[in-house]
Amino acid sequence: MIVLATSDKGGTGRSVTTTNVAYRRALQGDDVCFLDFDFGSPTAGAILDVESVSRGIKMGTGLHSYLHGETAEPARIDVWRHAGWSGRRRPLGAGRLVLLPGDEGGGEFPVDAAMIERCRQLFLGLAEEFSIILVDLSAGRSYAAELVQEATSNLGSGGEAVRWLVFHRWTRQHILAAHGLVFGERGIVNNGVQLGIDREVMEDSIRFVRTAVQEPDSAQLSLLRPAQASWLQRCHEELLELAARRRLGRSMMIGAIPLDPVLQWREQIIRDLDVRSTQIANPETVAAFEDLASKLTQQNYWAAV
Amino acid sequence: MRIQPRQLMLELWQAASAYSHQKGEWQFGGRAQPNSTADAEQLLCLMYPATAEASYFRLEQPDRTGKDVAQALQALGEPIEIPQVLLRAVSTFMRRYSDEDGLPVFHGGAYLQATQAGHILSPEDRRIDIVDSMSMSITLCLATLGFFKEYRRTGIRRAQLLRDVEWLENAASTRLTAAMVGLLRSFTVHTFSPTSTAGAALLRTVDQDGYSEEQLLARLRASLNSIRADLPEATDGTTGLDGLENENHLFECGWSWGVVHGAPAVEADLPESAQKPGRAVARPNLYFTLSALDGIADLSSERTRRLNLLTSTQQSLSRRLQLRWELAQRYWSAIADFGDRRTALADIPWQPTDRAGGESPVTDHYYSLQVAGMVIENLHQRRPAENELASIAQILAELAIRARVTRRASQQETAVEMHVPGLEIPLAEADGKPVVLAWRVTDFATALLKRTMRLVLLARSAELRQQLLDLADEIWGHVEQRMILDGPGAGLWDDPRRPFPGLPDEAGEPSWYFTERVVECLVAAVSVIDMSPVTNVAGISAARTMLSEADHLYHRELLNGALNAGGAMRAELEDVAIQIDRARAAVERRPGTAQAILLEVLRRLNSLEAARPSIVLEGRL
Ligand SMILES: Nc1ncnc2c1ncn2[C@@H]1O[C@H](COP(=O)(O)OP(=O)(O)O)[C@@H](O)[C@H]1O
Ligand SMILES: [Mg+2]
Repeated sequence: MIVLATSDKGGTGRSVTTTNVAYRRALQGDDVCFLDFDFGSPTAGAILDVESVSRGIKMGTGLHSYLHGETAEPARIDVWRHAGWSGRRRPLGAGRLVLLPGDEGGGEFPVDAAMIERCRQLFLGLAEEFSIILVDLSAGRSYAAELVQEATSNLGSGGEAVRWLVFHRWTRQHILAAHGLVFGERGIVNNGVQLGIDREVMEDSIRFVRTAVQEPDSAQLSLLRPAQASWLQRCHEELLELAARRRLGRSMMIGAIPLDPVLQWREQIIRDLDVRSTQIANPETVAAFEDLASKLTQQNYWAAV
Repeated sequence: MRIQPRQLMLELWQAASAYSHQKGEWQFGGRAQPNSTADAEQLLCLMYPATAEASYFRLEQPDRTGKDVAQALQALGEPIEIPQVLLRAVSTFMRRYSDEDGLPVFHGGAYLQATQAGHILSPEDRRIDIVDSMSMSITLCLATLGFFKEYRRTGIRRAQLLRDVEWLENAASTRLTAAMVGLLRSFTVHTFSPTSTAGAALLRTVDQDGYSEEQLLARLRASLNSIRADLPEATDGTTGLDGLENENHLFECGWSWGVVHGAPAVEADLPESAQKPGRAVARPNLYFTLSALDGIADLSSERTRRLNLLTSTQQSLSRRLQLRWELAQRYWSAIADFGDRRTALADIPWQPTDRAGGESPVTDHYYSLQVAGMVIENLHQRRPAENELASIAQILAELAIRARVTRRASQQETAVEMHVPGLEIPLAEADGKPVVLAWRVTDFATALLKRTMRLVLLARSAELRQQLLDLADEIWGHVEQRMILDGPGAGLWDDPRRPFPGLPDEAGEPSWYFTERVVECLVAAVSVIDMSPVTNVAGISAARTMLSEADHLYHRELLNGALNAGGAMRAELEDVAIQIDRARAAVERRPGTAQAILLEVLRRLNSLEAARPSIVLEGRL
């Protein structure tokens, strides 16, 4: 399965969430690979704490170079072996967790047919090795995003399932932007239709993830003054209504990641010991990552009612 | 009001859904064996609030389902799954209560009892259509039609699901038509001579001022004249109209317990065979009349109209039922209103024109309550005077006391019989056949609460409203005590042993009959809270006076050049201006709130003034 992670705006929490989901999914026993397609700002190395690729790979062997035909195979990094926090060894029962980093100083580029083909071949190859391929796209409509959508729309018969996770924060502007990215005139759905995919199949393959959510009844907000709480609840209700009208409601939502103090201060993987031993992160955050990780492959969350 | 309907409803939903949905499937059942009335009641515990006029408990648009609502219904699954769970449950209901030809049936089933202890009812006996079931079905079918009409609009598109929804909509519509036809054929007119037992009972009811029998008869005829004149319009499906030709005879009208013997077939989109011959005696019964009225009220609700739930045939049936509804209301209100010094209704308990052998006289209080219910519904058609409402409020309070709902009951007190075993209505058949079946009515407490809530909606003075809300709270206190605490039905109803000690233990299974009525009360409480607060002229006038004083003082501050006094002063006066505007907006609809804001404003303006002592006058310069 190929999971494409996108968002209309930058700074939504897409990279941090996707990376954590990849980590959780590997811990659940699946072989997972993570592709950093955010060529403008490759961050996966930093989030995973792989020192050597913290701003992308330097040797010209990243995904960027591969697509340009400058290297025959993109570099792969075994996260279990190279992450700073890891014991250099895959945890018992876990699957593989492999990062395909971007190039340092990669940047945007126009797409040509050869690149699409290379990209297609890359996915076909990875699909044989990994059960979950997570792709962190850049924010908004970019060349990289179009490239991936086109390459994955045409993986041949018996092709891998392709699913989209659209990340947005819980604000008015983010909801409107995410709606536009998916359902807008030049949005993902229409793009897919132009690439020959059924509109309904397209819609079934897209789900939204709310990030850094603070529910009005969350513990963190209990110190608000009554008037603030009253205002906040009204705002929340208006957003719920807006989301329902813009088709980002509960039925299209596959995850909601609570605001977490650790992630607010630093982009990183949250491990169980951060919750259990040092208790710096919230258990709800980890639960939300795990939940999203397992729903990726649960068919009923990806079917229209 | 101390009743908190949202919280109470969600607690009830949690218990009801956990009981009803087990092993991934809806389970019908409870204290009584499944039957067409009980199963409709069980479904309505969810469907009724979910489709009520106020939208707090909506379920058909999963994107809009409240968080606490979703939590309460966890037993049914996630919000997205709930409409489908209900779809399957209501579809099962529709299938189960159709005969071999697929025609809807309204059998009394396990709710029927034998009049004679020890007599075992045959399956044949239990296959008899009952008005209560028809009325519940009208409510359930309307709820279903509206629910799934809205559900469709959420953009569902799975082909099988769409087919299932369509199937249910058709089944619900057919059942609705059948229930309406059944009700039309259960409406009846009963005529009798003034010298018969029934005549004597009626005359005794209206005899409140000591008139001679002739005078009384003349007055009674006069006040019923217009109803008598209008009744012949209600021909479709109605029995007993020919009796009205004898001008000397008295009459009563309303619903019998089922389709009346000899009731003609009604024109509708139903196969002829669906209109089976009736068995019920051609005599209205107050309980079934009120039960029919509750169903018919839903047919003419704002929601039914707005969502356009009725086909044209159903609209025509509905108009015909409406006519009978009005006639029955007018009739019983006219009788209830009889009397100058004291109305017949206030002469508690009401004497029915027909009383079965073994009936306990204490259950006559049911009739008082039912007539009061009819009078209240009749008042909803016009703007009643406050004193009219007050006198009915007093009657409800009196009934609550007599039924030991708002007074402690001593052991073995006869009043307890009103609740347990309740009123037993023998289901008399035509031609004086021996009566074998009876219908048990045990809803005194909830009926009382529901009627109280309906009356609150009419009250315009704060005093009366408060008085009624206090009564409602007291009745709720009683009802709440009857919630089942342990066993499978925990959190549901009915366990009367706490208010009425000494009653036998009736297992912990829920009574959907009672629980559904509790739900209706909570929905009624929601509508009470949803209306705007009552106000009175005095309150508004006091608020206006304060507003003009505050506004005046504020302008005087400005005139004095207060804005030259620096930032602190400017900020203060800006805020004062905002508060005055808020108060102005609240004066008419929330005079109490306006006064509270203005008190604060006046105090702030005063402290500005107080800080400027008249230095010169005090001679300290
Ligand atoms: N659940 C969360 N709670 C608090 N902060 C978060 C959360 N998720 C992400 N963040 C923070 O938000 C910022 C943007 O996240 P990032 O993943 O880089 O966004 P994107 O990839 O969408 O640009 C980061 O500082 C990140 O740590
Ligand atoms: Mg990023």
